[in-house]
Amino acid sequence: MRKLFEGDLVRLAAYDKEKDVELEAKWVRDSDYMRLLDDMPGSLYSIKQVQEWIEGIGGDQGFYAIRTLADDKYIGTISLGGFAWTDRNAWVGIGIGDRDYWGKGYGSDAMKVLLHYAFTELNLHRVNLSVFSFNERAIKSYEKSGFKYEGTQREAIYKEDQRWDIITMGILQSEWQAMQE
Amino acid sequence: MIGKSLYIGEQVDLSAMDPEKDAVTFSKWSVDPAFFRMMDEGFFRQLPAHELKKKLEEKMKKADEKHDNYYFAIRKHDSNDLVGYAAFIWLRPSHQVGALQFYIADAENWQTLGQEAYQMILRYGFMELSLNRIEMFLPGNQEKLIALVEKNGFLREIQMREASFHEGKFVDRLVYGLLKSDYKKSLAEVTHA
Repeated sequence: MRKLFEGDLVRLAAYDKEKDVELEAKWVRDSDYMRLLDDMPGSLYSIKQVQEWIEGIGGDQGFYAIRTLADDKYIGTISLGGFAWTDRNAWVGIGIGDRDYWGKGYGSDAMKVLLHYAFTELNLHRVNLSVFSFNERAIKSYEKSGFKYEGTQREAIYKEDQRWDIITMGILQSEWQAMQE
Repeated sequence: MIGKSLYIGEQVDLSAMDPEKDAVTFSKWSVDPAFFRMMDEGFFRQLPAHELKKKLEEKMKKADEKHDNYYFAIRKHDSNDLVGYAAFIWLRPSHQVGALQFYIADAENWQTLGQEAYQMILRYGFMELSLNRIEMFLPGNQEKLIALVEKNGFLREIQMREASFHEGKFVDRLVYGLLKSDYKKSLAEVTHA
């Protein structure tokens, strides 16, 4: 039987509030990383706050720790949330905090696992995501995963004294199914 | 800056919501899914007045404390009758961006009262909240609102394919945006016309 949360490089796993907290606290202080991940002004968090965040995960948001299959290393986070159950869609968010794993297919592998779950178990009609216009690496990766460009919120981000756009992308269940053949 | 009221128009006024009185009208409007969704995220149903009164009180209290949302009752200038509702929600002050909700109850009021109220709301957003961008999220089946929004210079920026489900089929979900620069240009055109 296929393991639901396992890909070729990574698996989507539980958080370990003792072991993961140091790494997570480090990533949150990586301002480049946080600017790629979130448009809200950066906030600094104590170890205790990060621990509380990990403990609070659950409920109606699917938050997964991304771990490498090779050595079970915690390298990032992927989440599915903002469910619109009658419209049958949800938003995916992903961040690879460990820079050693950027641009090597780990994020795409995690996305592959998550989309498989979203379309074959949750029976979603589509999955949505937002990505910032300056995050070209992510945009390429999402295209590779099958997401299509659906439009741009102009000047939705104001940082470093400049305005930036936010792009929305989406993939339909039918498109995903066609990719599996 | 001083001299032209933000809140008093020729046909309509913007005023505070009156939870006690407005809840009764809102309850009637809540049979319209477009209005319901502005008030509640749960199962679609007519919302009872007592529940709406509580909701409105909570919204107003939170808005007053946090200044993160701004709510408006739209009333006829002469009779003071409630004809619509508007709200700036999900404000992102560091980006000067805010999302707008807008509703006019009667179909025949959209072109007249609706247009004036919408202009007043846009002025509030750009000139009082000092937003650089106002955006609206709406399902693709709301023709009257789409017509109003487009008439006022909003650009259809995003078309989320089949992201809304209504009357047995998927429809697109739309994101519209208006930038302050375009808003000011449209004002200048109106003045010179």
